[in-house]
Amino acid sequence: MKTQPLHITKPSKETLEFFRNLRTSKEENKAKLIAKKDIYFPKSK
Amino acid sequence: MELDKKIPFLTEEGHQYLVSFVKFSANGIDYGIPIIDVSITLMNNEIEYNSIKTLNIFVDIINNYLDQHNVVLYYYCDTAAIKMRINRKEKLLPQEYRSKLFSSMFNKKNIDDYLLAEIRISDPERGDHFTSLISSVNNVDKIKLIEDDLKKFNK
Repeated sequence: MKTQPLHITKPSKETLEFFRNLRTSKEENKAKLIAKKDIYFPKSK
Repeated sequence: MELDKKIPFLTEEGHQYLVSFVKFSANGIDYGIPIIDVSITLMNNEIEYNSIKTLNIFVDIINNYLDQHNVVLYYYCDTAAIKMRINRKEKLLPQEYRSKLFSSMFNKKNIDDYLLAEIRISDPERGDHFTSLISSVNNVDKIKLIEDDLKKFNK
């Protein structure tokens, strides 16, 4: 089931800050996961 | 049951992906149901290209998680480059393309059992933000509550 998409066209400063911080933390987390890649995809000996 | 989970998988093309489910605080607001942040991370340093088969695997992993946990999943689309059809008429941001791709695959498979709500936040300076909320249709009221809170943030 799909709902009507919600588009926040004029977000408040706080909302923008929240989503920008979220993007930054997602990017940082991605870099951390990739750095620990061998845990999830161990190299075969 | 443990909510945080990491599921690695290898595609037929040899790309390594990690699907992570992590409990999200939602700014400390209690919606009466756990909010889980789901991320799909390409672990190779390549430009992402998702075959239909790979997209179906993402959807299956998410379905399995939702079958086992009564939660609302929160998916934030990555801004990293992604391969799109060259002859595409409509120019899309990578995050917008991911959002459309994911929603269309998800809705094809889950038309009755699950609910997917797409949310776009305009950001003219840094590029719009695309997110989706996904849950069982039984939680339509919870999704509505989160959407209503977001609407309050519109100036």
